[in-house]
Amino acid sequence: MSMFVRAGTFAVFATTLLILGGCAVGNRYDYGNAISGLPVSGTGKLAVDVVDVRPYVLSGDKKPDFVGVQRGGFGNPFDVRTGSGQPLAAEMRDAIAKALQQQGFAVVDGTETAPRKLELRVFEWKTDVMMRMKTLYDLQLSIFDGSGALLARSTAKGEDVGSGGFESGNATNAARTFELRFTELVRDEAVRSALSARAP
Amino acid sequence: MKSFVSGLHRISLGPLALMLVGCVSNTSGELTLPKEQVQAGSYFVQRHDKDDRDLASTIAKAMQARGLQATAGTVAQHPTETTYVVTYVDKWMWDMRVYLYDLRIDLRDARDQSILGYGQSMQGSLKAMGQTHEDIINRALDQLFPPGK
Repeated sequence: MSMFVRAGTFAVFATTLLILGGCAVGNRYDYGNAISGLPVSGTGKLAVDVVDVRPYVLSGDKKPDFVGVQRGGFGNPFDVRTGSGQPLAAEMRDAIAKALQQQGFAVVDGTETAPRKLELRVFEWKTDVMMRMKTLYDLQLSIFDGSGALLARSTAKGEDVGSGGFESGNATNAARTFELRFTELVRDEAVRSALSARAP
Repeated sequence: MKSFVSGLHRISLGPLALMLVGCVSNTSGELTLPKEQVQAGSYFVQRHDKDDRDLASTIAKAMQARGLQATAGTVAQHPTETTYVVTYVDKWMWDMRVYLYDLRIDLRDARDQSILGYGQSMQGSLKAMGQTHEDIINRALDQLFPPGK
């Protein structure tokens, strides 16, 4: 009888874990193709850099490819990672670079010399999904000239709450939230003007 | 045996919570355009390749009912003079019938494809019961173009 009870307990645990963890484990969100277009155009070299300064990444508590958590049936969190396995900053830079290239810019690495530099500092970016998706963000976009002088800056900080569901839907929502927030930063008049102005 | 039974009770809360997922629904959305621009612009709802239900036309009709100048079609039918492009992501589930589980409608500037806003409606199986595609489209559009604003 006791063996039967033990086997029954194991079966119930295994099934429950499978159900609860099935949708929550191993989720990945791709940010590398998040941006379809940007409300700015220009020509010439533009250095682009994304700097991840999330405190839990800097401290080593989380890896740079950490993008948030997906909760199981009891609210138990499982880490969500980037689609490519690259750091979040690298995926975000990819998305920004591709969009800016479409708009006419010759995008170069952030370490290269260029008449203009776009730098996105990520103080916070984390999604938290159970029945809804919460996105915590704190972003700072800066445009510098060739000598490193600040030309324009815009910031976005807050918490968005949207629909939460299954992995593919959550990945779409996460990418679109980044697109919306980054576009908002670029739409800032001073930023657009600094990016569009012909470099001296 | 008593602790085994109480353990089972606790464990059963998880599946119960999962079953309740069927009752869940939520909406979200945001629009960064001022109202004057919303009314003045023209909209093209771009039908995606896998949409064999032609939700694009239903979305365009629902937008027309809100007084917006909207048409629908494939990418090839995109009129050049459109101000805004509307795209959508529809997710369908099966629970004794196929139902529209999640609909996200995005609004973009036709000139540069930059995102201007979105409206989304997600509903579990029970919540979706008795709702037509039009109902769900209108729930999402209410988030993108809030009535009275």
